[in-house]
Amino acid sequence: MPALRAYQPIAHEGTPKHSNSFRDASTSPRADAVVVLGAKVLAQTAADLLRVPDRFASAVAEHQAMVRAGTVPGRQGWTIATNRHG
Amino acid sequence: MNLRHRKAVATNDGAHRAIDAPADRNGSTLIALSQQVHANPEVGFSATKASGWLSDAHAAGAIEVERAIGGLATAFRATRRGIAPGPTVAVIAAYNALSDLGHACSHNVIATCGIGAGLAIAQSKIDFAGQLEVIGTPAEEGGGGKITHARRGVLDDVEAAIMMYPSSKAMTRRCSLASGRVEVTFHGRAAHAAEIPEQGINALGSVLAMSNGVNARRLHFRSDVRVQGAITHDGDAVNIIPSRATCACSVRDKDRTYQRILVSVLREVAGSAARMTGTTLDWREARGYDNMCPVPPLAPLARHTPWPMGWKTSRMNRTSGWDRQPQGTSHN
Repeated sequence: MPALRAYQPIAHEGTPKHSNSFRDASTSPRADAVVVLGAKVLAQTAADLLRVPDRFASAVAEHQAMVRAGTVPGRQGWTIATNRHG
Repeated sequence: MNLRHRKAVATNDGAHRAIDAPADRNGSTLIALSQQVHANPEVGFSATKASGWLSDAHAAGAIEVERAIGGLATAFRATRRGIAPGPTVAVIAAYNALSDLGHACSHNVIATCGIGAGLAIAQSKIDFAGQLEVIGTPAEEGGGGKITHARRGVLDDVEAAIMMYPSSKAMTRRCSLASGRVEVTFHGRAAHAAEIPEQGINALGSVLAMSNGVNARRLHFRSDVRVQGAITHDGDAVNIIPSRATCACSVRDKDRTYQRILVSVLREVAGSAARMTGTTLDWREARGYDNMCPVPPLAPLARHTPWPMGWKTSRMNRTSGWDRQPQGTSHN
């Protein structure tokens, strides 16, 4: 499905995820600011999709083009999942 | 952002302002929640405290919460319906921690951004067609709550999904790799390591042989490939030949088809390691996340949302390059 991951910095550039530094950054004042900023970004992005039909349609069209081009597998990929680890 | 998108966003400015107010009002509660989740790290599907607190947080707003969706005790879904039928947009909230490291992937922030977004939409009382869902997905560092949700139909009606990801850079066009895991357990035979080692079969030797085998092939993998292993069980004591040893590997590539080929290479290497060392093996594999590439029409707003007050003077503000490709790939 059409998807977005919006990355926002909470640590200095180059700080690796899955490190003690990133854990500490996750509770920093900067991370706290991103909590509120992120809530707004997500809510406003969702509002655009839900209130502006053109915008939703263009996201769907772009995604379908990516599936056709083989860039992403598309939803049918889910049905053949074999996740034995649950 | 093309003209059509810019126009669309411009027509929605009133809704954006309506969303800002409740998001700011809820700010201190959301931040306290983020800190609370961070201070209580829980791993995998067992994030009971975090999922409980995050579900409870919806009581503040006009948004309906269902707990334990999709048969997962630590999953939840909050739904706000619009005034007319329309598409379902999901905001994804992850909240599990990493074993040993705690919240070193910032899922405390991911989760509270998601909750905050749902509350802001609900409390702003903006009109829309369709519905917004905030979907709580446990075990996003192994197990895969989103995968379980997809297999159990929780995402069947979802037509677009968005999430925040704290990072060290601002990005909206970064792709992530198709992933999967394998787990290999080699079975040998225990014996006293000094008195009668000739009666033993060393299962740990198989793990080491497999590791060497994978490394011998590594140069010949495509450059985007990530194969990372961990020995999850080795021997029990230095005076016992290890009868059982287990290793796990994460196998990722941007192309699912090639990722599957890599898994079959690892299967061959594991079999060869067992033959070399005289053991037998159990092979398990789990298909992980498919590769993800963001859809450009979703990105403009995330890119253009202004920074909070005081942020502009930060060393890290806009210098990190908004949306300048290439931005590489992510590795959860």
